[in-house]
Amino acid sequence: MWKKIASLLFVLIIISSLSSIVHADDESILKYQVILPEKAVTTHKNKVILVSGKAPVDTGITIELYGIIDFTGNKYSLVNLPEEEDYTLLSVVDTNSGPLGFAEEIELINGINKIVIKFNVDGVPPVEKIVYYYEAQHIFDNIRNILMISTAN
Amino acid sequence: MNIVSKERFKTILLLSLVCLSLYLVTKVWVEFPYGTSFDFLEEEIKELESYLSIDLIRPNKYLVNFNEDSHTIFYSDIDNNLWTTAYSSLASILSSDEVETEEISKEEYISYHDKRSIVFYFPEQFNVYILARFIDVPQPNDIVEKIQEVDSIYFHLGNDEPFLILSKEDFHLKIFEPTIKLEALKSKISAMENIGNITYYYPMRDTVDVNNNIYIPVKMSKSIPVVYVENEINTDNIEDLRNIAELFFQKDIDYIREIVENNGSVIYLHDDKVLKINYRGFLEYIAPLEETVNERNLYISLVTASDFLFSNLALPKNLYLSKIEEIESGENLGYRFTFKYRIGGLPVILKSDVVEDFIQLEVFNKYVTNYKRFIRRQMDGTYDAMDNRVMLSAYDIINMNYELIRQDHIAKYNIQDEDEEFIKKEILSRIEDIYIAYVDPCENKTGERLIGVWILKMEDYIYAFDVYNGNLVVKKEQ
Repeated sequence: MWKKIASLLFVLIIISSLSSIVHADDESILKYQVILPEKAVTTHKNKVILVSGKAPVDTGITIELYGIIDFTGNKYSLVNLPEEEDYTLLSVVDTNSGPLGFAEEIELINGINKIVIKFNVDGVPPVEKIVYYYEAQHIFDNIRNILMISTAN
Repeated sequence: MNIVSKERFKTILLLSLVCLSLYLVTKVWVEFPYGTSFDFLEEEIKELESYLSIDLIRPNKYLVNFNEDSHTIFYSDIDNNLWTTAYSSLASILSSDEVETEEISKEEYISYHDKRSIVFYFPEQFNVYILARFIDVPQPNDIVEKIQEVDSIYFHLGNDEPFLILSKEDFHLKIFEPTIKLEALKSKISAMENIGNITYYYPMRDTVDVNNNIYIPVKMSKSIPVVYVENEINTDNIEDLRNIAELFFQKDIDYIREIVENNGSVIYLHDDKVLKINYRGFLEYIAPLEETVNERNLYISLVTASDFLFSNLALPKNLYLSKIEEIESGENLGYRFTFKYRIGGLPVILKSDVVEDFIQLEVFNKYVTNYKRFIRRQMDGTYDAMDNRVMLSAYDIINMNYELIRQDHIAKYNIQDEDEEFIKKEILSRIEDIYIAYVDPCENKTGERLIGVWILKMEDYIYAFDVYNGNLVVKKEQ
């Protein structure tokens, strides 16, 4: 009987300590956030995108930009995303968090871009954002050219 | 025969009297919806309108929204003439009898900033009727009743139906007009976009997740010019000062009393009027009020102010009306007008404790009782030189100086044991504006280099931080 009670108590202690460890991790992870881009997968009309977020003061942050240099004609889009190995590292920005957090402008390339935000702290996972950049004016010019060709024909 | 011609003469006289009375009634009822004074001359209106041609009322901030992802702000419009292009459309709308209006919520208004558009912000809430008169609309429509004052005007430049939004704080009036054309404005914005080299501004509500709709940049694409200034008035030359006194009193110097003080300041007296020129170049003119003014009239007071400004010393370019305050002196009611100007396209803030603003007038309808003036002009040969150093952004400036701002906030509101995250959100939501300007240290009469600063305007304080190193240059309590 005593053995059963002792083992039950032991299990309860382990469960409660585990939950407190998980809770502490959640709290610390909340201190590291990416505010912009807001969505995990998004479209963007401007060549420059703002990457901003929160982290305790003086946290080192690395922002990596990956793009697709597509020679295969796969025509990647938000519904046809490339595989992990298809991305090429295009640029790296190192910054530090201040009282407001961090904010850096990143220059995108046409098509699919992957932005990886790494908080240089153990146990804090990196955040990935997929951004599809298209030049609105470029598309508008293309449509106009197509219309002009079709009317000429 | 004699009786017949007498009667004819009487009839003609009667007819002409009827015509004259009709004409005068039209003048009173049709042309005078504002104020109650009837001694307001047409020449005075003309004078005011000619003053308008140098842009007395014009925006001090321009927000261009290219799309939901890119916005920019600038403070001077010398190259693009956006305001001059826009106000002809505004004039058509204010005079049209086909307008449709709709009051919209703050949320809807903010959502329109994600559409292609331009917003003109004024330094002051301007009366819409006066604005209409200033842009050559003699008979504005009922928009002037639906929104009596305006602090910003939004022009929608998307491919759908164009519209305008006139705003005063959180009141927004959306206006449609079927014939409005904004093509010239649209092409200017497209040209600006194609040239590139844009400093992008981001709404604080998105960037740092606080309840604040102002826009800030995180990286600067351009630098600002290096500017040296000198006093407009050379206080070392007594002849120059005497010429100014003659101009003010319209009398030969022999009829004006001159007192030279030990510190170099000079006082001129004529009748009850006083002109004082401080040794630093600060001019003040004081005149008595010649009659009681129990009812203030903004239109007449503005005419008087413009007349006074033009009849004295030459005015600097880029002068604009920055503030209108209602004042009282005994039983008399009037206005205080503050005028400012830009150098190199940027506003200038004076560091001096003696002088606060460039030009200030106290006007009681037809009478100017006080005039203060301190003008610093850009020195010859100092144009077009750009500073090669990299400018800090508004985001950098707040980050670097957050502790100072926090300390002031905590001291001001006696905050103890509050959550730091809560204090930060509170501080950031209290930022009213942040913009680039020059600070004039006012230490030298000539050869003074202006300091490029970020002006951070909070509810309680105004800070000026050096744009290159982030150091505090000026702090003033509001």
